[in-house]
Amino acid sequence: MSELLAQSILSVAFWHSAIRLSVTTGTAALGEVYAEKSGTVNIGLEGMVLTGAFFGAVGSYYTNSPWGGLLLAAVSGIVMALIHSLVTVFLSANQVVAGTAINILAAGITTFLNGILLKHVSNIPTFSNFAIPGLSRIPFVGEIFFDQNIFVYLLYVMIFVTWFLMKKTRLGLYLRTVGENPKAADSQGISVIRTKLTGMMICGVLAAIGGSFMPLFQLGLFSQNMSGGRGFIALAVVIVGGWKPSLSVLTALLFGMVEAFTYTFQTCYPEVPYQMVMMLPYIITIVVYVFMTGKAKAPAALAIPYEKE
Amino acid sequence: MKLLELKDISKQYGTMYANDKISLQMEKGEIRALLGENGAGKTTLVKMICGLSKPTEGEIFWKGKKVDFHNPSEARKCGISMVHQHFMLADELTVLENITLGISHIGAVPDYRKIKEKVTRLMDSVGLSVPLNLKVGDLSIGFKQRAEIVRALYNGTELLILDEPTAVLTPQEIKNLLEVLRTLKEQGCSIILISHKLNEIMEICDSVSILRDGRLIQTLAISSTDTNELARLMVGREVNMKLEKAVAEKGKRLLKIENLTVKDDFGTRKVKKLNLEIAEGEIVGVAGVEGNGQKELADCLFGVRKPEEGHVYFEEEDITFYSARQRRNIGIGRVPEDRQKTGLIMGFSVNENLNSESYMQRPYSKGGMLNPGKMMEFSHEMIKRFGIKVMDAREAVDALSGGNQQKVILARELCFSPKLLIIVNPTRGMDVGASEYIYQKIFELKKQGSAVLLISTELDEILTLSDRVEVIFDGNMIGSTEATGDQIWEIGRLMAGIKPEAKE
Amino acid sequence: MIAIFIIVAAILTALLLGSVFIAISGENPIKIYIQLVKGAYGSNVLRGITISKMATLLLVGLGVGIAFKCNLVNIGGDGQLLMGALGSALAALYLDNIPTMLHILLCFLMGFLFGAVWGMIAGLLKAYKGMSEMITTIMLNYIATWFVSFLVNGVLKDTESNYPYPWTPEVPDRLKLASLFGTRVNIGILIALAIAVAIFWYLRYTASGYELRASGKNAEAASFVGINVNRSVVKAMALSGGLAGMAGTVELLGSQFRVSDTFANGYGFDGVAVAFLANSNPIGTIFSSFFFSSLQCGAENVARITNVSSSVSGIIQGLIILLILIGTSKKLNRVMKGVLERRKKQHE
Repeated sequence: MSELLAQSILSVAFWHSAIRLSVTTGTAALGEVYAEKSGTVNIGLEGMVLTGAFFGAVGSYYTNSPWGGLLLAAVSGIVMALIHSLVTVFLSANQVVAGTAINILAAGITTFLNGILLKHVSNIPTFSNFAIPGLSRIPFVGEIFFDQNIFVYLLYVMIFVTWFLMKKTRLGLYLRTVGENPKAADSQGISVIRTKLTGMMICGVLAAIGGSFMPLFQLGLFSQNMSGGRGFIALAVVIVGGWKPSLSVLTALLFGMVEAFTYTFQTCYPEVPYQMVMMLPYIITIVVYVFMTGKAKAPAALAIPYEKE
Repeated sequence: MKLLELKDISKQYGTMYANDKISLQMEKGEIRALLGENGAGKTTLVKMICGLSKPTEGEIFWKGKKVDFHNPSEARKCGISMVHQHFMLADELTVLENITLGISHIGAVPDYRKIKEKVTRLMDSVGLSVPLNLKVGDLSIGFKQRAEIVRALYNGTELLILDEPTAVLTPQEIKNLLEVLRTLKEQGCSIILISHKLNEIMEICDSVSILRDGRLIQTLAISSTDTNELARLMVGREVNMKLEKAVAEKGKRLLKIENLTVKDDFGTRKVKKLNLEIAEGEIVGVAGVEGNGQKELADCLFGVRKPEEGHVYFEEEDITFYSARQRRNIGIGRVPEDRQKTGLIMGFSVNENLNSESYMQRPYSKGGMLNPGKMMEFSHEMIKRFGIKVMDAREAVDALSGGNQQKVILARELCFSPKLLIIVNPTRGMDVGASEYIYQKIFELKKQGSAVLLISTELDEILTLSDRVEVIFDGNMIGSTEATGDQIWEIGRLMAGIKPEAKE
Repeated sequence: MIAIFIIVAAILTALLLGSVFIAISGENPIKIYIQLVKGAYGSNVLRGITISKMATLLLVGLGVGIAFKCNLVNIGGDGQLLMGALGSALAALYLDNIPTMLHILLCFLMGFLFGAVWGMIAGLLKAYKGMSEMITTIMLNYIATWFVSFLVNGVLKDTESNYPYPWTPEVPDRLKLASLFGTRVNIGILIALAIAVAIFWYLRYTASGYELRASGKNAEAASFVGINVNRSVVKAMALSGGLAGMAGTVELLGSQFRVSDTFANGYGFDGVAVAFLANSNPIGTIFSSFFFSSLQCGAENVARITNVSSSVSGIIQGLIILLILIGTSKKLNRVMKGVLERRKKQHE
């Protein structure tokens, strides 16, 4: 038992791995907060994460710089968000079906282009760790949180930015209004379409950047369907996090921790099946969701297509 | 120079004119009432003034200049704001945030402190107070309305439009609101007030424009008119009773409603200790301005909304908590108000809709298996008997006209000869022919000795059909009259909330 | 009529856009599409693979479709299919001394039950807690995957074969679905077709199916005429999951013979595409599952002999859904009508 503790929550390596395992989910979840706050449920998040991963790898390989990868990933996220918005925001179609189509399309396109653009590519330029001077010297906590990579720092910043944007800025006010009561926004002369579009685009960019973490830091290459459901988990994370940026990212971290823990668990107790532990976060998600219902935290107009009278 | 001038404004929806060549003028500092029955075109008109929709024809002049608003924020920049009947507020946002939505020039990061200061000053100057940091969803209706008013006033509004502001308020709140409006007037703000309530109009307005069927009938100075004249102008005509009333013998008591209290979806009591009785062979009309509890009363009697307290007896049996299906099975026919939302299953065929209650019974189903042949047979019979105009019973019910859709519902409900029919606004949006047909069907039912509870906002309809008129006001039956044409003024006064004992 | 026109137009447009991708790979699209058809039906073996896949897609698609009919989105097909396969495997591996036909029937029954329970959980949470069935079914997918993974790594693990990957022992040969008259097509497709007809009949000719559809079309009006909408929701999700579970049975006894944690293989999401293309009509689902299985199997074969990746089928599949969404958009329809009317007016 003590060995398990020593190798898990008391070890810096454990926390590093937990954070690495939650960066993609956390960033995508932040993106989904923008989409859902403005009333669009983006089931296509998984596809956008995958697209970002692929184009991140492509950009990095062809520009020979991870920055190029990051940029291309962001652009690809915008394109996917635009396709989604064309159908759901402009044409008011069923958001879930559109999202499923985006997922199937993304899996197809990335696998397809992977065979052409990244044939025989085994590794691509990646970001490296960047310890923040001073802060990273704080024993344990500093080592865990400030001896990290650009994606993690970006995530820290985005939690704050998202909170600030939602609570303090005009854009956030408009996003929340459109997700709550699009008619009210309309009656005050606020463009529902433009606001929803903005929410979706930010969502696309963040999901794609979250996806690009995998090739641009974690693994150094792209592999088929590498998103592996992290986009779907991000969807659940947003609900459990009550549509709040910080809580959503914390929930994502919880998922990452359980995942990291199971790896540790496996090394300590190879004879105990770890799969039962892996089920836990999903069961916990459902249970938490059960207790959250009735508190009416979801944006009131979520997933309801809006049409002007 | 006039503050506002409308020249021949028309608004066309499809082939129907919601507003037909309306011209009117307003002075600065004037409080103008817009008076008219439901569907007279009042809301349509003000929506064009505040930029929410555009007139099909005609011109709007603001301070002598022609204006053409594309959206509400353009109108707001000129100084025109509106408080909607259904509040345009986001519940999860605070009052301050909701007010900020209506501010024309805010930067990317609104300075909430400054806005709060200005709002506080504004509220002090007109005598309003709203807790700014609370979520709108946690406020009472009265406070929500104040939040709307504050938002409308924020941009230095010169013309404030209020759509039925008092319909949802308590008497005390109404008093406060009128006080605020008076203060605004003193400060030079002009107001357009849409209302049904004659006494309020008499109390606060300078002038009144009366609309009927989308046309402007007359504009009068309040000092030169009285409630009786206004009521007459609003209704417009001696009641035209084309149909001879059916005669039937009044039998024993069939339905008894006792101290019924019902809440709406938001937990507000809309029906308050209401009592009503209906006997066999009797048609009782419940008249009243929309929103006085009719919907909740009907839903409760339909079996889709549970009452908070009180009882409903049918043939002396307590049916208060009977389900919708149980009610049908004991002989209560139900025709709801909204054909497309609750009456019919849109997207289903005419056949499927005609059978949507009978499908559970033999011979239309047996052991859970439907008998499509019998169902279709039944549909054809109904289509013939009720003259429903449809090419094929398999056609989607969506394709039918409003009148034919209503016939489908009537057929469904009348086919089992209910002992009691509860019917709400049965002819809304229908032409004369379709309406008359429906009236005849109701009379037929009465002749069979059944009872009918008619809930309607159309006075003509109530007077044409009913034996007795009950007027609902603020969730209670405020008074009852005979259903004769010469009672219309009395009914109008009751609908406006003027109690019979206060008549003199 | 218009709906069929839109579907055909969407398929053709998607194939046209797909040919752009084929051209990018440096191949002639027409040749590739011909090869694709050959790849799906060129031989006895290929036909067998394609039609077996069709059977699975058809059952999952029927399940998603029945949920759609009740205005529910079941994207948990993967988990339900996997649980169904697990139930069938338990019946296949642990029951003994039962006549073969009865044993197969029991496998299907178990498949249905396991899948139905998995779907019903989401249905109950939706009906009585108002929880989004999309989220719960996604979570249930993962729970099912890890649960099966746990079993196939433990108590159900096949210890006899030397295969390194954890899976269950193979189902007994006598339970494997027989081939149809010398072809490689197994009788799974007949079962699936029969179920499609049964579902069609259920929705159309039973009171319960009527209530399910009414609840989906207009829940408010349905409860007004006395239909218990919550019960319909639970029923629809249970049936939906049960059908996906039976797809697991067909997949187990007809194609894969062993359960592993990668058994479901994304069938649940394909099922959404299949049901959507068929507009949730059970008979239409026969055609859409035929189309998608041909597309997928054909593309896989094309990938084996040309430069074109099999994923082109996914691209076309995704595009078809998006194009149908665009084509059937009521808003677009209205806007277009408005434009036409204005043109007319101008001409006058």
